[in-house]
Amino acid sequence: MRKKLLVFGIAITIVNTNVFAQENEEDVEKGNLSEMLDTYSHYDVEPSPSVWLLSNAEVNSTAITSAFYTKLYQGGFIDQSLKDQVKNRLTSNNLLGGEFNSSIYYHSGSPALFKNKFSYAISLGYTIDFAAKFSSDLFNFTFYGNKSFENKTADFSDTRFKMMTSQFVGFSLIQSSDKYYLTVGLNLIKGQNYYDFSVNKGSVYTAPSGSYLDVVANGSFVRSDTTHNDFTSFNGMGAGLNLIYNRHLKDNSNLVFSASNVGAMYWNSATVRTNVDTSVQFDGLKVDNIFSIQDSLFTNVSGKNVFNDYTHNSSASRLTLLPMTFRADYYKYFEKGFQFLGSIQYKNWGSYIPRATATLGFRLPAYWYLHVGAGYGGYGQAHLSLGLSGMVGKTYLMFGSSDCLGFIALNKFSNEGLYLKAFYHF
Amino acid sequence: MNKFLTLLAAIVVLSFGCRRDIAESSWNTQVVTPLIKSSMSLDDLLGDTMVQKNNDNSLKVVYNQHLYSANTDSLFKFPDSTYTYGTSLQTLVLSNDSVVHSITLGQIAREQGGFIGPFILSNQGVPFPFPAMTDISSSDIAMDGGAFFESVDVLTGFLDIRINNNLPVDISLLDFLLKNDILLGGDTIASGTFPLIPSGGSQLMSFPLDGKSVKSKMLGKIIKMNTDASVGAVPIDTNNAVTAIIKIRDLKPQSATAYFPGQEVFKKIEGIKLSALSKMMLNEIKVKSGEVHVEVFSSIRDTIFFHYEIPSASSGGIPFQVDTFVPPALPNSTTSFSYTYPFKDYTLNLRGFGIEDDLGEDINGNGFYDPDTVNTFVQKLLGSIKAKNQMVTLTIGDTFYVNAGLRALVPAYGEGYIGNDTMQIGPSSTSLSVFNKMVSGSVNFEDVKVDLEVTNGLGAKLDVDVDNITAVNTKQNNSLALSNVTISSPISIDKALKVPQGQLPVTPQKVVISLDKGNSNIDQFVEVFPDRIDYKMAVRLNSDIVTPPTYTDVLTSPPNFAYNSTGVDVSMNIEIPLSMIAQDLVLADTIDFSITKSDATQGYQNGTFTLLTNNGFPFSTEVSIYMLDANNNVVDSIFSHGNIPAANIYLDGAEWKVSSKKSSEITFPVDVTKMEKLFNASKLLVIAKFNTAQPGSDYIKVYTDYSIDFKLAGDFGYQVRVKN
Repeated sequence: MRKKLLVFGIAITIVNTNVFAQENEEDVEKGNLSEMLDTYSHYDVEPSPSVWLLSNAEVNSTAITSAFYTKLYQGGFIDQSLKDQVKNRLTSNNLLGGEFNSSIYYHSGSPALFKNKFSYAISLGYTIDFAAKFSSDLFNFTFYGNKSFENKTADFSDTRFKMMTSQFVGFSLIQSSDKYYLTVGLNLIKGQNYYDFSVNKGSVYTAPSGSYLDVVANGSFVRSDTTHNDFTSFNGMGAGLNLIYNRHLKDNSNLVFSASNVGAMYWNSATVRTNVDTSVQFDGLKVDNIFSIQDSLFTNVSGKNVFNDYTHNSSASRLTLLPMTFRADYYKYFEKGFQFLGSIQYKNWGSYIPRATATLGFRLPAYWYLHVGAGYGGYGQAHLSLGLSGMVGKTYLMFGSSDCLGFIALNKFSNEGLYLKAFYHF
Repeated sequence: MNKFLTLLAAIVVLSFGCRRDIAESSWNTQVVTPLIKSSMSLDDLLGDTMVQKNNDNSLKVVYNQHLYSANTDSLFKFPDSTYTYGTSLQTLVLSNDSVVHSITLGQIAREQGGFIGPFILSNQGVPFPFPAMTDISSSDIAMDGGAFFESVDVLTGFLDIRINNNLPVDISLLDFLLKNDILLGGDTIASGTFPLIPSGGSQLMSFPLDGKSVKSKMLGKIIKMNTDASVGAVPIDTNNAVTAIIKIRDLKPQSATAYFPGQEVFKKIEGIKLSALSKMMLNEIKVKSGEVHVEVFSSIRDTIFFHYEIPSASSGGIPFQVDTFVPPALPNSTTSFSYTYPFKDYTLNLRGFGIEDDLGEDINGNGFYDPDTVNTFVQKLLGSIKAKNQMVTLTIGDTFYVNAGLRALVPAYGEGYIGNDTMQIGPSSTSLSVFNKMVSGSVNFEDVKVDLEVTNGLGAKLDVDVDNITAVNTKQNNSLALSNVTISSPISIDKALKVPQGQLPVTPQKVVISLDKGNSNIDQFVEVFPDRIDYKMAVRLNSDIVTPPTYTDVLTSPPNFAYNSTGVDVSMNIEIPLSMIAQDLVLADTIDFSITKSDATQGYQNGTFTLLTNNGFPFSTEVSIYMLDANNNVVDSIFSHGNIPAANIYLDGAEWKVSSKKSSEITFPVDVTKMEKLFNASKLLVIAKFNTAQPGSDYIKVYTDYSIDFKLAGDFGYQVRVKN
């Protein structure tokens, strides 16, 4: 049972905190991730060093359909029906968010540190987190134009967008016993870029015939150094703490509490904060002589210039919280390979709604397992997961969709998620 | 492990490979938005330099139309006064060096032989009574003149041979022969007999060399020499010698190859009369601009050092002079060069050789200081060669041509007497732009004032006789001659005062003839809307000088002067108060237009635009705007016959004024095809028909605060394109 505990703990760590855990007993079993049950209990595994590769990507929204998002991101023409499908799903408060991470881990296997009480893990990874919140008017204004708002006001208030791209190196200590399993780890994080746009109050009134536009804007825009934002850019530095406590219960079940990425980022002095608090009536670009219209009239007119006229920019270093994740899991093993995992998760990023998930595992021939899960919350609404896991040689594979509704019904759902994970024991 | 690496690659591909590198997303929107706006007063429409404000804040159009001007450029037209001088080498001077050769007593003794010869040779220093000797001769004696010439083909000249007798005895006879070296032809150069040459004395004989060729390698020979007996015994000194000194003089060679000494090869000093000044008598001009042009052709096979000088021209007390050189010509060819030197800010004295008094130099070498004249300057040309350590071949007939003088001379100032010619001005015309936008219709102005202004900046009295001034509207093929009593008679203008006024060097004199409805037909003249004014005038100079002055008068008290910056100027100052009645007045104007495509404009789809106007002018307008290509061909219309109603007006006493602006809209569709034409258009043609708003035949004024507001708004489809 301790093997199951260990493997499950490692899986939890990978998914939620990117920190390894292991124990030094020989009958280690490989287990599932937090979103699936232990599928690996029938394999005998040595407590040897291992390398784990993980890649996970998911996008969720309460309104934006998968087909729409795909066109927007991958390119192509967004036709009227695509826009209408989203429009029909819009509410006054719409969410869009997701994450991408890809990482590699090395785990020492047997406890080797502090009088052989702790094993350790080191890790290297790449992470993107983004989240947006927007009104239906913003969507309609952007994708239908302002004609439909003639003699009306389009309300953009309470619009948010937040995104962070980073890379990390991590180190963790893992201790396990018959009753619990504990991981404490620290990630050192390189900030590549950061955006935090917030419109507290915003609207555009379009006068009849478009004779003028009344624009109201109150908000702030924070962005890291935009002149250096590629992979090699070092625009910020931070640290995140990872904690996992996995308690073995008597009825062949476990209760796990974890907190990951608890920390902050320090963005350098090239970080720009733009404040805007204005109301502007735009009734045309003023020209001295209407009979002398040349390109040069517009030379000094650009969106950037107009924007600068009504905003105040300041560059300074900034401290921001990391996208932290807090999670509780309960899992239980039943006879004949049937498994259950229940989780609830919260992320302090954007307008994330606590997400609850229940997953069942079914054993297949050759000790492969099928995982089927359902959930609600996060950036989207309903979620459905589907995955497989099993051994290929000495490599344990887990792959599937963490959110497959968006793949099944492109025009009705928005949630898409893919994962591919592999564990290799030497 | 290999499978694991394969999996690692798959993860990387999964992570980064699902997205195209640069993907463009697009969608259609419908946009309504204001685009541009403008508010225009009459200043903006007509140009603020043309519009002025009256005391009552009403506006008037003020326009200055220049008809004619003439300055010293047209008064003093100096054709290029270059002078051509050609010459050939006439005389050449060779070096004064001589060929010297001596025959010692010892050499004579050896030639003599017999008893005497060996005796003399063996008794050096012994007193000896020399007997008379006869028939002394010598073999060929080589003589070399290569140190100063190689060969000379003589046209005319002389060979001098001097014999110095330093023998202890008299030479009673000496026959000699001088010829060119056998290898160089062996021609005889000179031969003859010297009579008695006393001991210690010398004799000179000259031989003409006409037609002979003298080489540097020569052979001399004593054919026969007799000596007398000595008076008593004298000591024998075998170093005593007979010396021949050979020199060429007064040479006019056909050709010579020699080390020529430095010498002047030509010199020309000329007085150059400025042409086209038939009736003018100028004693001095100050040069604003011009150039000295020197062109030289030479067949001389030596470097010719060339000096050009205008002693009459000075700047800061320094005369104009140029020193340069002409490189040697190759045999049987000509070398040439052409130089142009700026000639500006010089004072050019035109008193001819009369400047000799000032310079204290008899420039032309005629033995006296010449008297003053007018219209003439002096130039000096000198050519020379310089001695050098190089043999040069020069030939009589080598030619040297110089073309030198002043070109493009523009005076800044001139003084003297400029004559009493009558200058015919015209028939000529000048274009008038103030009305060139008017196409048709009519305007009746309440008042029109025009000042015809004649300004004289010359130092000479003028009489202007106006033959005609005619307004011409070429578009409507309409014209009208100006009629006024004053201009039907000659207009006299006194000469300018030589007193600076502001930036001008003189105080011009001016005559202003005011034309209005009362004394002329100027209102009808203006209402022709002329785009051209034709004129014909005559300007007579110096009508107050009946008898032309003498040279002396001109030099002592020049009656006229003229500056380049001032002259005769005829212009019209037009003032039209904007109080008028316009009936179907059609104005047309083409305006430059250039809107280029950009990423932002690519997304345009069909749409409708609205021109919102708020008119504060008291006239209605019917507007059409057309697109023109680069060749001014109409491509399409943007819209036509759009109506902008006149502002609301009210009667203020007896005068109509604007009470409030009136708004209106002109809506016109612009599809993608028309937008494409708009992008390609180079100009817009705007045609506007105006009608004043007032009822009946009342005039209506335009005030400074009248304006019209424009705003262009669009309602169009737009495809947003976003590159991810």
